[in-house]
Amino acid sequence: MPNYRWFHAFRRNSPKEVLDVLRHGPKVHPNPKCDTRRHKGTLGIDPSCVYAYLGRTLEAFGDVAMVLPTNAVKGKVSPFDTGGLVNKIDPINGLTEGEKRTFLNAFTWPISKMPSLLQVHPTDKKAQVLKYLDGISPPSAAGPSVLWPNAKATSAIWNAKNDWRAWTWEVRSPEQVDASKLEQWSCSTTLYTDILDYVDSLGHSASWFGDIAARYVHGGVSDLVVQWKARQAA
Amino acid sequence: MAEIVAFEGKRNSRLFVAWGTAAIRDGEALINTTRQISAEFDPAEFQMLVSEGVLTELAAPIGISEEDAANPLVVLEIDVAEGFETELYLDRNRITTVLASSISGTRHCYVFASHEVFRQVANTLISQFLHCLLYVEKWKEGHDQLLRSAIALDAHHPVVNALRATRSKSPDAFLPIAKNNLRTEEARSVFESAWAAFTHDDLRYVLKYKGGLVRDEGGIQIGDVAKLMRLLQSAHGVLASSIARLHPFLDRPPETQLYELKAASAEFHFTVPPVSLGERLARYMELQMFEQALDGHVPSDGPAHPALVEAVRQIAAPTEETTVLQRLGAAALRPVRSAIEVTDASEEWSEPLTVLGYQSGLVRDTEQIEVNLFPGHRILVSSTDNGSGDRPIGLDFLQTSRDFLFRPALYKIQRWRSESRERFFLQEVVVMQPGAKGTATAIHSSIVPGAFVCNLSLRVARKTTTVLTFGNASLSGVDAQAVGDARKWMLAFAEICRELELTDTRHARLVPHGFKMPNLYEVLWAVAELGGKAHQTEVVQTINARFSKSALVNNTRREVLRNKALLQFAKTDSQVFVLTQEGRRYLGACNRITRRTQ
Repeated sequence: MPNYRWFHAFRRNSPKEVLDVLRHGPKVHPNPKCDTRRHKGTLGIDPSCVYAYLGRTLEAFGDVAMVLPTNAVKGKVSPFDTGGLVNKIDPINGLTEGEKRTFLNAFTWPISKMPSLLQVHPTDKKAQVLKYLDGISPPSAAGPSVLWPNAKATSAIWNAKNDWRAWTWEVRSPEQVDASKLEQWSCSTTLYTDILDYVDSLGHSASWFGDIAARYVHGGVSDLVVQWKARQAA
Repeated sequence: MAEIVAFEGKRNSRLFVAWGTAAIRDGEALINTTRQISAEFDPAEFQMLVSEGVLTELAAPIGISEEDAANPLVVLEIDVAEGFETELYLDRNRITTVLASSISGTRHCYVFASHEVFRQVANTLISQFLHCLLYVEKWKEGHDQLLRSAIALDAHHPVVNALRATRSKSPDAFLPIAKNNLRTEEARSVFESAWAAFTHDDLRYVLKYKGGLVRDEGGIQIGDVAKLMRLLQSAHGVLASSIARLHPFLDRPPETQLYELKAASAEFHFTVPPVSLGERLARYMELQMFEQALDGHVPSDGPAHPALVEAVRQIAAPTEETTVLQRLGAAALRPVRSAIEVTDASEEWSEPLTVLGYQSGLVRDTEQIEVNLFPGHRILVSSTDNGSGDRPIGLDFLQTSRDFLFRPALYKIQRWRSESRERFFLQEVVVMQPGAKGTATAIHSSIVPGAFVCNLSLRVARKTTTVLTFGNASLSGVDAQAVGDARKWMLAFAEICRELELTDTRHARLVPHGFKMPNLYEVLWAVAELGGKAHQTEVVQTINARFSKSALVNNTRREVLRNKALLQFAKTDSQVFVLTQEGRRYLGACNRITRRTQ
């Protein structure tokens, strides 16, 4: 089986806030006006959640990204980015709010089902796993409704108009994620210099940062994703 | 043509540099070049990503060819601030890997083909920054900015981290954080040296003799002391060169400083004086290297230098009855472990190769010369040591001539390699003046970067001022006076080499350390295996099955885009690869290399 990891990308306004997430774990975005929380209102996701993606993430989701083992996150999973349903993923973005909720509910499972769900999409065939990690659309079906016909919802979201967000596995955790299992993380290289300056200003009270520094990958979110692609496929 | 419009990450006014994965706009798509993932270009969303600090927008887009756009491009932006023009200057004559660039006010933007290429350039810049920071007399605010910029270029650099910890408001508290930024054992070792050199008061190295040379009543004869000092001087020459070569941000350390001589107990104390951080580090590293040499370990950047071997042998064992002890810093005195080992089982010298090239630079006050042997391949060779401690033949013109750059010359070089390193040594140089003749015995490989095709015998003659013949081919413009003109004849020379290599593939190759066939070979092999024409998915599956890899379609298509003479897309289906006639010839040469080297 591939060595999948969850990727959580985020952005905060200061090094202190970034470190708070890295040290204590991601929790629901503090700003109720942020896109993620507004979209969840549209989709009726309650309570608000922390989001992570299996295998990769997108730099547009934030300039800091964390890599977490699969057992570090608890919650519900879906084979697409739920935020994308609101206005990105064709043709769901054109449906009513009620229809979007129905679609989401049809393809939502508890995370405990993940091993069997992965057997269906992307399967454990190496070529399919590589395509999944590379963000290439699944070739076998027009959408999740073909793979899970009992879901009672049909929509061909795995089409050429959509991107990776339409076929990525997403986990939504209503709880704060366990940061003690952080494997690696990255951020923009300029932000890292600010983080070091901030930590320096704390003196001896920042001794906890040593462990976080040891897990830092220099190069930014994209580079972190590329480095982990090969490790997950191995 | 596609345009680079931004790069990943945020510009920071407290730094002189910013860098990240390029974002390309190609028609209506916005492409992340590291991951080759595209999304629809939406101006409003793009501006939002810029305002949120996800992307840094370039002042002016940089045009890039379709072929280059297929690479995992990296953009480096340097704000060339007043007062730091030298440190922030990227010398395009020496750094030839820039794919595209632009200047807008004080902001200079450079594009590189990959993170790996970028890292090499970042290392050069860090050396320039560190040289300034380690030898500065009065630290100013701009120096903090330069240090932060070095961290932004490489957060794992050992000396940058040691300096950051030294400059910390609370060095002891920051020390474990700086150590956690290191990723290799080698980096940790260099960090410890730098930290000690920057912060410790007692960096004394003590050499003590017992018995033998030492008189029963105490003391040591003045003749023996004089001899010892001469031997130390001799070792210093070799070690200082190694320090400067291994750490380009350090100047050659000055002569070893004797601080205290306790004649009665035959103790010699050498020290690192309270000078600039750079000189302290260079001196301390030299003392460390000397201590290691007396324990039998030569500097690892070249073969054991005869002068060093002889000096260490006599210092470590002046007579059979003499016991020699040493200590560095706060450590206790201990006997030296063994005499230096001259031969290392893993060491290996190649046959001499005589190759055509031109000199493109002088490094460290003529101690090293930079020789261009092929487009994109330069080597640095010592002008004082041919590997046996002697000066290479034919270098007198460095002293007598002012126009030694860019002139075609035959370089007789030999490669030394150990388990983990390799280095070229220059034996002789013959400048090809008008009328001069000679024979080349090797050419640079067009297939494997850094490799040479050997055992050739090609007549070289400079018939006129502007024309040089190489085998049966002619090269014009060899009277180049500037780097741009020299590059032109070198590019033409590369074409001649490529033709020679592909025409007759029987010759032996000298391949570089850690040699690996380029990805192109795997694609050529797979397409040939599939009958010379195959769908990209089949090609990728064949590569992954044969080479146990996880190659991807995007990377494989990149090789086709980059090598249009060897591989093409079928006219009827752009997902089908076709091997060209030239591709078959190239693959034949590749197969020959793999058979010879596996």
